[in-house]
Amino acid sequence: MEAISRSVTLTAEPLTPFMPWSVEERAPLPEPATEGEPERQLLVELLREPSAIVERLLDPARLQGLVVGSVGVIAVCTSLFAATSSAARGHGESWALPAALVSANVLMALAASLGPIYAASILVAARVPIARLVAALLASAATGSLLLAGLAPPLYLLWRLDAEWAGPLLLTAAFLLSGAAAGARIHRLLSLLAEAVTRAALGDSTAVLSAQDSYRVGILARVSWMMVAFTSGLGFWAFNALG
Amino acid sequence: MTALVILTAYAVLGLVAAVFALVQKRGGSLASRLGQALLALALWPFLLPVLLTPGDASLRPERGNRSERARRLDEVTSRLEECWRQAAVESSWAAEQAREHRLLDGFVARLRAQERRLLEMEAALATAPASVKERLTRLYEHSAAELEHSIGLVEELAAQLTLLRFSDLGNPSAARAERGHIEELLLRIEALAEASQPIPGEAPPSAQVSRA
Repeated sequence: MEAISRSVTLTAEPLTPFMPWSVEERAPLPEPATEGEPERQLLVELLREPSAIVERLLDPARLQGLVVGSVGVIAVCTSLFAATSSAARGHGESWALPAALVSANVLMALAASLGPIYAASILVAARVPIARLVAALLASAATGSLLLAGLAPPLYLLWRLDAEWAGPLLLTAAFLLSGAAAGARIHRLLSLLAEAVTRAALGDSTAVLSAQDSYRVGILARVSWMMVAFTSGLGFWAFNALG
Repeated sequence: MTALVILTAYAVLGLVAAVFALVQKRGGSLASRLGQALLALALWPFLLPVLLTPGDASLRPERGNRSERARRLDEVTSRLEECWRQAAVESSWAAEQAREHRLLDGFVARLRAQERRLLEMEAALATAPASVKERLTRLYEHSAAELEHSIGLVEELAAQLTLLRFSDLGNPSAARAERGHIEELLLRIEALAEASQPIPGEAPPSAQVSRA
């Protein structure tokens, strides 16, 4: 291809022969990021982008939004699951009480587990600022709640088909899957958060957590998961939340 | 009866949190503060830590009163990025320098860390005992000069990249000469980056960062 302008060689990328050369034509295409781009939805980030959640955790201006949004997601999703489960078992007229009890139970369990988790973080020399810890814990519980809400329709269907085996098995499996997802998410969030803070502090964008740091973060994540499982299990038993 | 006591205690603490949300300075308009107060009343176990944190300097992304050096570093970084992108579009040579681009990213990140250390050193100087003040001042001046020199190198590189974009308009050998200048600058930057790499045994342990 012959260059349109004799003084400019076309080496980097082919230009169209139908348009004259100009600086604007050769300027790099604008980046699709930043200006004008609508902010990604919290629901999408909760489900598939832990790194975006970490960005929210690191930004004090967006922390409160993350906390309130996660509480909303937890309340709505767990209520939906409890109401569906109640309706599937034939308690259609009294679905409101389990719905309210389950969401309140999960939120209370999360609140009750905050203190022990924070104390554990100090004990294992991996203290997370309390505001970030609250937000990370809520975000991971919200991820688990979203999974729980997604499993509500299959639960209704299976319970209607087989109330003896398939329904109760799926009910148990739904809680196990939701717990596993929330546990994996809190581990991932805490690891990414620690890595981001380490990178910022060292000024090295390629820095990774040392083996000891990863180990301590892992312990903290497991303690968090265990505490939330314990307190929420206690609540489900004490309040007989699912009826 | 016990549940009533617990609920009362929850409501009282919620009221305290709501009052705190109402009176805090950064709340914005009255309507938003009222909304925050209502949220805090109901969800204080989750929101109170968030409301209390703005005073925590460790959570702030950057300081309000940024130094002149930090502003200059930001400016030269964005200029370098822009110049590099322009040069990569218009020159195949610049487009092939992916390794050098990565090296520059790392170098700029290191400069930012160095700038933060200097700010910490400034704060330490203000309260340092007289016995170490002189040595600390010398160290500060040396580090500041080093940082200024590094920023100057990046500025020069950005200028050379601008020159490279237009060098093929004149003598063909001019483009080769500009590339030579840029390669020389990149080598100097690489040497500086390697020199400032922490020795494995002396590296600041990351445990310092994550440890309480």
